Amino acid sequence: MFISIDFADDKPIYLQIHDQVIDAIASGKMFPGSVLPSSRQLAAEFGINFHTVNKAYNLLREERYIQFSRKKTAVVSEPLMNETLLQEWDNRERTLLAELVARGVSRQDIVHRVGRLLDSVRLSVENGSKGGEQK
Amino acid sequence: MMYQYRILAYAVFFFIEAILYLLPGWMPSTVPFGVRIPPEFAGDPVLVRLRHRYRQWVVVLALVMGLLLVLATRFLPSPGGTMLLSSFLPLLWLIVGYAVYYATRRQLLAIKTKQGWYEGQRTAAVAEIPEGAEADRSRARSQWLWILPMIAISAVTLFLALWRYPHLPAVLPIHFGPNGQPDAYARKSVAVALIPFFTQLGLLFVIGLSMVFTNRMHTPLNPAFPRTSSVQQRVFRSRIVIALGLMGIATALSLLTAELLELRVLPPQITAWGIGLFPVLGLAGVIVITARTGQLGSRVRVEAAEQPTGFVARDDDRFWKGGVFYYNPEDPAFWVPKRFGVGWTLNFAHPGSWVMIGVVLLAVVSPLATHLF
Repeated sequence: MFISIDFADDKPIYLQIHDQVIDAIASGKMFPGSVLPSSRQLAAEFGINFHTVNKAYNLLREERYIQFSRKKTAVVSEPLMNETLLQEWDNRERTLLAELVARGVSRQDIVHRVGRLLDSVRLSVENGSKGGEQK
Repeated sequence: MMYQYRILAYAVFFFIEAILYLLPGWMPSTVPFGVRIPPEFAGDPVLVRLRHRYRQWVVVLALVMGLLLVLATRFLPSPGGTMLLSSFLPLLWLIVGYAVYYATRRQLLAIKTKQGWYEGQRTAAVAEIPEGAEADRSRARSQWLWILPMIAISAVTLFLALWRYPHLPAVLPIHFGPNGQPDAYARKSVAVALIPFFTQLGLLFVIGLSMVFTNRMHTPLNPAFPRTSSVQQRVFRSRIVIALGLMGIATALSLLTAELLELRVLPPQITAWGIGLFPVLGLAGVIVITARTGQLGSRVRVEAAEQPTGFVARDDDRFWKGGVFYYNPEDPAFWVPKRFGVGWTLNFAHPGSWVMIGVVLLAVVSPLATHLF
């Protein structure tokens, strides 16, 4: 799988990397046990400072998407969900939904959009891409 | 005496000039003459013209250099002439070739800046994360395919040396002139009899290590065509391993021939040719592989055509000092793909590169020093 960073994007590079790893886990391209390249190696491939990649990895670890093994390699964790995380997500999602409601988008439209986005996230899993079912 | 040195000098000459002539065709289309350009300019008439001009200059200068070589082989007294041929002339050919490259690069840089080729381009970088571990393991196995024959050849060398050792005279030849006549001797000992074998062991180590590094070499993908460049680089890495293997086997065979010469198993006229023949064959194989692969696999055809993503790599021309030395303190990469050549070079801003240079210098200087003192 490819991870790309857009130097002109307003989104900071570490967040671009962070978001794409989550996307890869959601779509089944990465799964519990998948190994990420070392931050030095990934940074060398991008030609960017390795602290930037470290920042992305550390954020992913804090959020429990990945963990560092004894040899300090970043490995995708078993999915973790609990009440606190759900609560946090609800808060963020509520703001996003409120944005649409405030701009007068109808409820039906919002539900349709959310459904379509959810489908696009899960697309590769349902297409039978290797990953989730391998484990 | 001079006859075989002359053949060698001409071989090196044709080798260098052929590579100088072919090299522009081996480079990725987005770095012609060491200049990073967006893919839509890869077929620009300016480039066609520059490539044509570069080749004309290479041919004209090759004729001049060839004439120099003919004159040198004809009129120079043999000992001095040999030294000149073997060290000075190839260096001159390389410098002249570099000058043509440098001039062409300067012209292209000027055109690129003047016409604003990079203005308004969306720059990006793409990295690939392996999805499974199978691919890596099969590649690691393919190294053994090439290492095993080298081990077998070394074992034969060791066996022959130990088998013939009791029958050897008290003084052993350790160096031979081009027609197989010994010109240096040493007192008989197991160590002296095994010099070719120990050299093979060193070679095995160096080639094996290079293969491991080659397989681990992950260099930036082309953001305009990430899928294509990923496939091309994978093929490139495996072809480099094959080239290393070929060169390793050829050199090991050459050393086996040297052992045969030392042990007087075969007539020296035959073995003297064998020592030079195998490396030349290996080198010819390496050139064919390189010509079919290109730098980073640029000549490897990828079946599924890929639409350009609209992104281009960042303009990194200013980090390439003189068009050949990469110096970028911001880049954590140690190895980077050569800008005009096949393979990798060092990021000279990386502290590790100075350690590397020190080790190489030490390896070159220490035998010279022991020779002098």
